[in-house]
This record gives sequence, structure tokens and C-alpha cells, in this order.
Amino acid sequence: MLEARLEQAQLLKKVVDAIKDLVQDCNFDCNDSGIALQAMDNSHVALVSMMLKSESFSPFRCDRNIALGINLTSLQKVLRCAQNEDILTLKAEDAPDVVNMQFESADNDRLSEYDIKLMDIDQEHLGIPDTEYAAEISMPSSEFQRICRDLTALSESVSIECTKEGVKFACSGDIGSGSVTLRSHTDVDKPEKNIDIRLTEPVALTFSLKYLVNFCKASGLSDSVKLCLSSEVPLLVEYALSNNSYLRFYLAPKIGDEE
Amino acid sequence: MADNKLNAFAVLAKRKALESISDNVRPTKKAATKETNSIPKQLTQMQLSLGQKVQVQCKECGMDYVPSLAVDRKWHNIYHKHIVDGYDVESSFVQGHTKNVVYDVEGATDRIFYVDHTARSVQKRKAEDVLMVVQKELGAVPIPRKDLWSSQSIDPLQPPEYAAYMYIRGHRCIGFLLTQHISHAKRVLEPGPARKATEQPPSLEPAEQPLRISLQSFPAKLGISRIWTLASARKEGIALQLLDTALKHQNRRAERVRHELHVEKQDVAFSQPTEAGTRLARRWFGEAYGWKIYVD
Repeated sequence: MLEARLEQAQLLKKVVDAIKDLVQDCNFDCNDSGIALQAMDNSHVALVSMMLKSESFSPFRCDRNIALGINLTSLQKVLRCAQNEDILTLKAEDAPDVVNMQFESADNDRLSEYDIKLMDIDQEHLGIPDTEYAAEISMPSSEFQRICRDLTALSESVSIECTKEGVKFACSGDIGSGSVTLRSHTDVDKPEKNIDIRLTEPVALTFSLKYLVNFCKASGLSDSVKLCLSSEVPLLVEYALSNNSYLRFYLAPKIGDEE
Repeated sequence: MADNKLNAFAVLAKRKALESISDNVRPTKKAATKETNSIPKQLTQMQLSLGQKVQVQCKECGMDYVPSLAVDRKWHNIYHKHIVDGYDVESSFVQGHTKNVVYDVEGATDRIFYVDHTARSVQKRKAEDVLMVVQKELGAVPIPRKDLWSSQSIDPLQPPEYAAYMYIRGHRCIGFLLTQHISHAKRVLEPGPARKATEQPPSLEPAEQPLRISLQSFPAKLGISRIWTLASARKEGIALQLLDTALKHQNRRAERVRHELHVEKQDVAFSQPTEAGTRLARRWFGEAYGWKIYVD
């Protein structure tokens, strides 16, 4: 039996909004440590990894490991029936056919309840290797979103170059080229505006902007975003949530033909 | 090129004498295009490799494909639809060949089309494609394409070796019958108490209830070579309708065409039926035993 109560429905709403263009159907793996999701997009270019720790819920109860196979479009439809501030309760039996969702309005006595039919999804659990990244960049998520959106107008790909001077997002397309450079920056009054660059060696990689723009839909979940790069490994884009929960995206780079 | 550019400049300069030339869009655009052409940068998108299954098999249509390749997904989608919803013969087939309609359901889009060696090659190709799907599902030995439409001559008066009846709903083929000209067949006998295994060719024995057939051959005229209905459209009487239509159509042809034979129900024989085929034959003939089977 699973019962998980989320103080604000908007957390799940935003997570689903952020990933549903990458993944259509996926398993929500529930166990006593929380609810996890891991899925690759159709073309195996990007991977979403979500972890909502049990501490993010109050209370959280999960007696057995349950995989809830859900169509994200259906889930989004139901979650649209919830207000951002509603209290959301997820419930499922041990061998469930449906997942039950209750939305309680905090300021009036409205209680709505929905059941979503589950699907049997054959999904592999993929081990993501621990990586020591050559560069780790933390920046305001809105800043990253703006850069991706601006550069999409010019090109399909962006090169991210990280040196000790700063990080440079550059692209070039049919109409011309453009770049945005950020330097380390500490704002004492507004720590969420900090830009922090940790570098062990310079790194430059190129990525598809279409995917990055897609990842940026998670910007509403967290004020800051962390980009981790190493040459020849996928980019990690992490949105940290409270209680050590997170939403991570991995993206395979683009490389030039060197033949 | 150089001349054109010069002319364009001259004309624009005259008209917009007060504007600076750098505001003119055309030359700047040309310059930009030139610049990008000089540095062709071909990038290849890498894929994540975490030991995930690369090739999957679709549970419904049985096709093996690589879902991470767009082209594979596209072909799978097309194939999947053909298997699950029926082969798409496209509306041009339905609209363009109305003279081949041999049966039309009132108030529905269901029609049966007749295709034989005299048909247009487009139609024959569609029938072949459906036959491929059908044979795969029946586990039948494929009939070579060249034999399918062979005839003693292309004289339309000669009876065709094979003829296809396609049951089309909308523009999807959901039922298919291939008939064959035959001369003799064997009868299905009631299972005798002291049945000897040597009496039957082993290929005719389904595991559940083996059919016992006569040693003696009987004359027959029309062979049911392949018959099939889409899984989701079964139990609607489509196969029975195909059989009735084929018989009626054959007899209509017999009235018009000299070489065609008039066929009664008892002149029809099934080629090695599957279990479902045996059930169909028994229902159509209205008897469990006594109907005919032939080996093609």
C-alpha cells in the first residue's frame, strides 16, 4: 500500500509538465525511500531521472516496492484539475490497477478524487555511472532558460565552453552567430542569483538546443540549476528540490565528423 | 551574377538616394549566406549508452525494431497499423476500381473486391502485399509472386489459376480469400475407432483433433487456398461472406465466360486448414465431415 501526501500539488504538476514532452509512458517506482522515475526519450539522446524522497511527503508510507506505470499525458490531464496550492495525496494498492489521487483545497472544503488507470510498462533500470565532472556550473535557472531560448532563434546546437574565465554559450546558424558569457558572481543579498563555476579542467561540448529548451521547462521547480560537464560524457542538468529530492536530465553531446 | 548585383544596386540607389546602402537587405543577406557556406559544420547527435535494450519486439505486431531510430519507428508504425487495423489499400484503390466490387454492404463502407491476373498491376500489388501478411499470420508456405498471377495465357477468357477476394472496410483490408483452380480433392472422414496413423499425410494433422481424410480422390473445382480475417474483426461472419461471395461470383463468371466452371458448394475444397479454418469450413458446409481438403 502506498500513501503519499504532498503539501503542494504544484511540485508534481511542474515535474510532469517538465518531462512529458520527453517521455510518454513511464514507471513511477515507489519504495520506502520515496518515488523515483527514470526514463529515456525515444531517440535515446536524453534521460530523465527524478527522485522525490520520502521526506518531501508528509506522511509517506510505502510497504512494498510498487511500479506505477503511467501515461504522462493522462497524468497531466488529471493534475490540471488540481490547484497549485492543493494538498495532493497519492494512493495505490500493493498490486494496483489504478492510482488514486486526491486534491484537497486548503482554504475550503473541496475534495476532489481521481483514479488513473495504470499500464504495464516494460522498463529497464539503467545504472547511471557516477561521474567526476570536469566542470560544474550553478546558475539561476531563469538565466539558463533565457540563454537557451535566445540561442534557439539562431541555431539548433549550442557549444558550452567552460574555462577559468567563465562559461560561454555560443552558437552559429544561417543568419549569423551569437554567444553569451557568464562569469562567477556572488550576490550576498540574493544568493539565488549566484553563478558558481567549479572547474578542474577546461571543457567544451556541443548540445542540441531543442533538448535543452525542453529541460528548461523545469525552471519553475528550482531557482537554480546545475550543469555538469566532462568531455565525452553526457551533460547533466540538475534541478535540486527541497529535502534532497531532484529532477535530473542527461543529454548526449553532438560531435563533429572527424573522418 | 555580378551584373545582376550591380543592376540591383543601381536601381535601389536611384530610388532611395537618401538611405545608406548598408540598410539594404539584399546585399547583406548574400554576404551572410556566403559566409556560412564557407564553414560547413556537420555535427552528429550522440546517443546515451547505459546498456539499455536497443532492439525491441512489438508485442502486438511482432516486429523487431530499434525504437531509438526515427526511421525504424516510422516503419514499425506503418507495419503495426497494417497488422492491427488491417492493410491500408489507400482510398485510390477503393474509389478507382469500383468495377471490381463484387459485393457491397448496404449502408456501410464494407466491400469485397475481386482481383485476378487481368487486374491492373496496382491492384495485384496490393493483393500480394495483403497475401504476404496473411501467409505470415497463417504460417503458410508463401506462394511465389510469379505463380500467383500466372495463367495459361493473358486471355481474359481463360480461367485464372488464382483469384483474390479482398474484404475492404473503409480503405483497410480486413478479410482476404485466395481461391485456386483445382481438379480433385480428398474428403474429410469421421474419425474411425481403429484409425491408423499411416492413413493420413502428417501435414494435415492439427495437434488437437486430427482430421482423417480419404485415400481416394474426388473431383473438385474451386480450392480455398488462403482465407483470413483480421484478428479484431473476427466473429462478424466476414470469412463466411467471402466464401459465399466467391461462389456466387464464380458462377456469375461461369455464365458469361466459356471456360469458367459452374461451382456448387460440394465442389469447393480447403487447402490444409488451420484449426480456425476447420471450424470455418464446418460452419460453411454445415457438416463436420464429408467436406473436401486438397494439398497444394
